[in-house]
Amino acid sequence: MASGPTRTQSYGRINRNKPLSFSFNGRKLTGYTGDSLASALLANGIALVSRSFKYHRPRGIYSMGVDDPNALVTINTGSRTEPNTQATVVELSEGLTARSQNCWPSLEFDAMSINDNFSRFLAAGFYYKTFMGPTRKSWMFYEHFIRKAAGMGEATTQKDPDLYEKVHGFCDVMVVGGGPAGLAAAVAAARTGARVVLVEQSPDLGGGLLNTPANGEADRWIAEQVAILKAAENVRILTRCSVFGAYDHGSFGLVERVQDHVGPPQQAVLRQRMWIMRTGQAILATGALERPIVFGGNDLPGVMLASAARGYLNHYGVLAGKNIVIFTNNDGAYWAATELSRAGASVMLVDARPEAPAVARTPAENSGVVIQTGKAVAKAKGRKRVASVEVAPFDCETGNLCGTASAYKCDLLCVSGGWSPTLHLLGQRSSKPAYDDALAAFSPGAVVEDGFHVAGAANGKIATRDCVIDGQAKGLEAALACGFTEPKGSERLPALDLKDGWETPLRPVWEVCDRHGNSHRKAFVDLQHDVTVSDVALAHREGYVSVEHLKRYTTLGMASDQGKGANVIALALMAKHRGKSIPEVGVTTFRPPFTPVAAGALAGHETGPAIEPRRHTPMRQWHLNNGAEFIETGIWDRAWYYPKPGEDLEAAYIREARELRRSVGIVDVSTLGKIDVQGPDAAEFLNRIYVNGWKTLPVGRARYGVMLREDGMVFDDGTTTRLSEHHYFMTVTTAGAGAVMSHLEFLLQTCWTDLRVEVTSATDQWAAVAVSGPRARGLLSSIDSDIDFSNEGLPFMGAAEGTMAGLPVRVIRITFTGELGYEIYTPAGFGEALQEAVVAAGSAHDLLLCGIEALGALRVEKGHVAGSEITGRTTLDDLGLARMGSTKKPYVGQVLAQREALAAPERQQFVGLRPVDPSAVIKGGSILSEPNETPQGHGLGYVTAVAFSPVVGSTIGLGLLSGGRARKGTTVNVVDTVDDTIIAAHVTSPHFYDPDGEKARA
Amino acid sequence: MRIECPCCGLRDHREFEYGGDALRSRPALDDTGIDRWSDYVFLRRNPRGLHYEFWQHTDGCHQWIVVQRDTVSHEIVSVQLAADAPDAERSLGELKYG
Amino acid sequence: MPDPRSAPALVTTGAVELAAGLRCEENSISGLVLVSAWPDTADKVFGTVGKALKIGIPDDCRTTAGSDHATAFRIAPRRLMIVSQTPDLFSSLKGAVPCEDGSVSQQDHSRIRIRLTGPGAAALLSRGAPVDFDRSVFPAGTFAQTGIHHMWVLIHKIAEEPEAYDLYVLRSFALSFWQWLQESAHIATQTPMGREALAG
Repeated sequence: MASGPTRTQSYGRINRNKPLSFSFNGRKLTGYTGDSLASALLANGIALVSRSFKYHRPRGIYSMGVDDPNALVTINTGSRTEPNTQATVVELSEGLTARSQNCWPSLEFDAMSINDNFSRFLAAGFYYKTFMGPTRKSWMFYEHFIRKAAGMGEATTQKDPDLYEKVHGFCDVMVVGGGPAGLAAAVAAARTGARVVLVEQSPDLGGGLLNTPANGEADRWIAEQVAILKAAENVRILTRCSVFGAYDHGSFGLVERVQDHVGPPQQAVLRQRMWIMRTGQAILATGALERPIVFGGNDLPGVMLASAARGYLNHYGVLAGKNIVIFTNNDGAYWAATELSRAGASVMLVDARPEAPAVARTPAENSGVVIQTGKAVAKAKGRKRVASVEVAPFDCETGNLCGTASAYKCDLLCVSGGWSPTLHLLGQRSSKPAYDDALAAFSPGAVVEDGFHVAGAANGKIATRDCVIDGQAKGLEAALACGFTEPKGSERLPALDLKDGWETPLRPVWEVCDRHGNSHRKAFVDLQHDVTVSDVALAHREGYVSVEHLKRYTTLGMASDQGKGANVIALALMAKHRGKSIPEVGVTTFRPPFTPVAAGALAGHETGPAIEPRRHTPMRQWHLNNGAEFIETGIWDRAWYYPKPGEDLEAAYIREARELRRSVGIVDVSTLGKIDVQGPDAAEFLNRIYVNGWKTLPVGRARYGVMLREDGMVFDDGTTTRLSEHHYFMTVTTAGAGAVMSHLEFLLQTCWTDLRVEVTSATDQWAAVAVSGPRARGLLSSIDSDIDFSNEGLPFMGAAEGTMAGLPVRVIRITFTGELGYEIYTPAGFGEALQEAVVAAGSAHDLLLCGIEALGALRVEKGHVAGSEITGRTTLDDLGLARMGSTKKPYVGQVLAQREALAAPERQQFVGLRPVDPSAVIKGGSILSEPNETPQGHGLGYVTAVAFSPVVGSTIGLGLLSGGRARKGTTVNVVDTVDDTIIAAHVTSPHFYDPDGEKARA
Repeated sequence: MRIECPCCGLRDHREFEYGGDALRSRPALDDTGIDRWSDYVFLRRNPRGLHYEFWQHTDGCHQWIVVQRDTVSHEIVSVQLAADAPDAERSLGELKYG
Repeated sequence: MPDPRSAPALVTTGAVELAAGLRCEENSISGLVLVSAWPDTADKVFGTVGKALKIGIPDDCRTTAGSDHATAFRIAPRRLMIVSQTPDLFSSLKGAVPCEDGSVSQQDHSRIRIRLTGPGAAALLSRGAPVDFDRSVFPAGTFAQTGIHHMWVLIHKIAEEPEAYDLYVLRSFALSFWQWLQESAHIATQTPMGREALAG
C-alpha cells in the first residue's frame, strides 16, 4: 500500500521482540505484544473495519479507547464468540480471530449499503412513524427484515464455557483511573496508611501519559509511582478492571478481565471477576475524553480523534497516516501535530480560531507542520477511506464557513473539538454536572456527593502538572475523610511537569455549517447509531425538545458506546435550535454500566445447578442407598418415591399409598418447620397467633392450629405440642417456615415486647419420620423403647419423650394420612439411625417406604388443606375451618377476617371432585365451570390438587369452587385448557376417606 | 445500600429483608375496629424524603430494626432496634415530618 | 447412644485441600445451646451461664468470650450461642436457668462446623460473604453472622497465622455449603497462577 499507516521503527510501548499472529475477516496478520486489536489493524493498513448500524456506511477506527463508536467487531469463535466488541479495547493475543459484523456479503461490498441512498426515509422516528398507530400491523410483517438489516453482531446460542466469580472487596479509598491524577492520588492516600484500591481499565498504569512520547520523563515518573504503590502493603492495584457502576453508600461494581488478554484458552478458565467494592471514599481520576467536531463526511474511515492518532504513535508505534490534516479548536492538537510530523508524516493543522497559540506553534512549525488559522474542515471526501478534505475560512462566532474552500489530499483527518471530563460515575449518583464555559464541557460542579472526590482531567485540569497536584490533594483529602492523618515530616510529593497546558482558550465548535448556516446532509453526531445533525433538527421540529425525548426519539447516545463523544454535541445542537444555553437544555441521566459488562460476570458462578443452594434432610444418603427418586420441593430435595423394578412414578406412588392403608409406611418429614417456643407467656402468645384456643392444652398433648395473616387470610397451619409448663414445640409447613418465623419475631420484637416468650428455629436440630398405617403401633411397640405406644399410654394427639433403639426421641401421635400415625423426632445426627431402626423392625410388619408423592395422594384422599389451598387468598371459612376460629379471645387477623366481602356466599370454597366417569382423569390446575358451559375468564374456580385414589377407584381432586359447599351433589365441568379437554365431575366433600377420623383415633 | 445494624455493624443490604413502613401504629389486639386494622394493614406512607421503615437482619442477628432513610438520596439517618423504638416514639417521629 | 453422624456427604469426604495450603474439614460439635432472656433478666441469666461454664460473657455481638472448653457468641442482644465440648452442656444450663427467666434451646445437631485453615481463607470467603475480613476490623477472636450464597453462616476467626476460621452452617445446608467452598476455590484457581491464586 503506497499510502496509509505504517508501523514505525522505534516509537511506542509495544514489544517488537514478541510478534503475535491473528486474523481479521480470515486474513492472517501479525502484530506485537502490547498492541490493541485496533492498533494492530492500523499497523496492517486496515482502515475499513465495520459497517454502520442503519445505513451500512463504511467505518473505521475513530478513537483508541472505550469511547470508540465505530470499530465494532466480533471476536473469537464458537461458544466464545463475542459480538459488538470495540477493537480499540481488545488486547491483541496469539491466535485472536476477529471479524466485521453488520455486512453482507462482505465488508468491502455490503449489499445493505443501499440503505444509505434511502437515508431520508430512515430518519429519526422512522420506526414510530411507520409501524405504530394505524400501521402497527405492518410491524409484524417487516420486523424480521428490519432486525436483520439494522443489526449488530450475532451472539452465540452456545453455553459459555468459561468461569466467572464475584468477590466482595473493602477499602478506605478507591481511586478510579491510573493516569497522572490517579497515581498521584493513590500514592498520597496510601502514605496515610489508608487501605487503597487503584483501579485502571487498561492493562498498564499511566493513563493519558502513555499517549505521550515513550522513554522520557513521563515513563520515569510512572515507574516511580508504581514502585511506591507495589511496595505498599495497604494498596491493591487492579488493572484490566472497569468500574462500571456507582451505587449507594460507597458501593461500586467492577469487572476485572482476568484472562481475556491471554488468547483463546484450551479449557474453562476464570475469565472475568466481578468485584462488589465497598469504599469509604472514592476518587474519580477518570480523565477526559476528546470529542469530535461534526462536518460532512465526518464518519469516513481515516477520520480519527487527534488524541487517538497521537496515542497510536506514542503508545503503539503506529503512524496512522502519511498525509495528515488536523482540525482543532484548542491547543491540545498542537502536540499531536508536532509529534506526528516528527515521526515522518506531512501534517497540516487547521485551527478554527483566528490565532494560533504562541508557544505551542513554534515547535509545531519547527517540525514542519503547516498551520492555517481561522479555517475549518468543511467536508471529508473519499469512498472507503478519506482521500481529501475541503478547507475553508470559518467564523467561530456563527459556526459557519465564510469563504471559498480549497481541497487538500490526505489519508488521515484528525479532529479535536475539545475535551469532556469523564463524569459518568458521578452522574450515576445524585450529583449533577455543571457546564463549564472555559472547557465547553460539563465538569463536576460546585457540589459533589459526599464520599466522592474528582481529580485531574476529570476535574477540568488540562496540564499534566495540574492533574498530578490535584490528584495528590484529593488523595490526601479522601484519606483524611476516612479518619487517617497526614504523615508527619512528609516532604512534598514530586509533580510531573510536561509543560502541556493550554495558553489560548478553546473556542466551542460543535458543527461546521455552510455559509448560509445549513448542515451537511451526511454529518453524523452519533456515529454508531447513525444519527445525523438533520435528525436532531427533525426531532426539534417535531417537538421533541427535552434531551431525554431527543435521546429516545433519535436513539442518540443509546448505542453500546452510550454516546461518550456524541452527547455533548447533541446538547449543543439542541440548545442552538431552541435558542437556549447548553445548561438550560440539561443533560440526560447517566446509568450503569459505564462500559458493557458480560452477563456472565454479573451471574458469577451462580448458574446452572449452583444457581441456589439446596437443603437436604439428614436421611438423604439413606434414601439414595435405598433407591429413592428425588424431587425438588422449593429449596428442599425430598424422597419422591421408591420404585420397584419396572415401576414409574404413577405405579410406585399408587402402590405406596394403597399399601400404607393396608399395613404401615414410613415417610421422611424432616423438612417440617420446627420452632421452639419457651417462656412464661408462651400459652398467651400461642393464644394470640393461632385462631383456636391454647390455654387449656395440657402438658404432653398436641393440638392442630391455624394462623392468619394480619389481613385475615389463612397464613399457615401445623401442630404444636406442650412439652412442659412453659415449653412448646411448634411445627409449621415446610414452605411457610421462614415466613412464620419472621412474622413471630416481628410480633415479639415490635408489638408485644412485654411478652416473656422466645422463639427459636429448631428445623435443623430435628430429623423426623412419620410412621402411619393400621400396623404402626405393632411396629413401633416392637422397637426397644421406654414409650408406651398403647392407645391409653399415647392417645391421639398425645406426645411423649423418651428413647427408641437407644436414640433420644419425641413422639407425637398425629397423622397426615388419616391412618393411625406417629411422628417421631430425633436429633438430626441420629436421623439415619432412627430410619434404620424403624426399617429393621418393619420387615416383620410389612413396612413400606413412602415418598412424598404417596403422602400427597393420601392427604388428597383425606382432604387436609395444604400449601396449594393456603394460597394467601383463602379464609378459614373458604377452607371449611370456620369452626376453629375462637370467639372467646382476640387473635391476629381476627378483625379483618370479618370484612363483609369475605363472607360472600359466592366465594371459592374447598371441595372434593370425583369424575362422573371413573376412567376420566382430573388434571391439576384445571378450571371449573358450570356443566355444559365453557368457562369465561377464571371460571368458577380451579383444581388445587389431584391424585389417583385406590379407595375411590378413580382420580380425585381437591378444588376451590365458587359457592362450593352449596354445590355438593351437583356436577361441574373440569376444563383443562392446556390439553383442551372437558370432563364432568361430582362436587363432594373434600374428605374422601374416613371423614369422621376414626382410624386416626383407633 | 449498607445498613448499620445496631448489633452486627455496617452490613450490606442483601443481609436484610425489608419490612415496610415503620410509622404504622398497630391497634391493640382486642381492638375490634375494622377501619383501624385496615389502615394498619393496608395503608402505607410513601414519602419522598425521610421515611421510617422496618428491616430485619435475617442473615445476621435476626433483629427487627427501624431505619430512618431518605427515599431520594438513600441516606440513612438513624438505625435502632425495633424493640427500643416503641410505637409512641415512632409516632413522635411522624409528627416531626407530618 | 450412637455417635451423631455428620451432615450429608461430609463424613465421607474428610479433609480437603481447596488450594495451595488451604484446607477445610468438618470439626464436629458436641454441645451447642442457644440461651435467651428477657430485658430485665438478661444480666442475671447471662451471669448464671458464665458462672456455670466459668467463662466471661461478651458485651457485643462481634467478640467471643470463652475458655478451652466453651465459647460464647452473643448472636443477638439477648441471645447467646454457647459451643462447648463439655458433656451435658444442655442439661447443665437447663438446670441453671429457670424457665421463668429465660429460654435454653438444645441445638447441638442443628449446625455443623467447618474449619478452614491456611493462606487464602479470607480471600475464599470473600467470594461469598459481604464482610470485611481485614485483620484491623476482623481480628482473631471475633465473629460475624452473614450469608454466603443465600446460606446463613457464622464465621468465627480463630487464628491469624495461619489464618483459620470456624464456619457454622445449618445442617440442612451443609452439603450445598461444602460444594460452594469447593466450587468457589476451583474457579478462583483456574488462572495462570493456578492453586496459588487465592493465597496471592
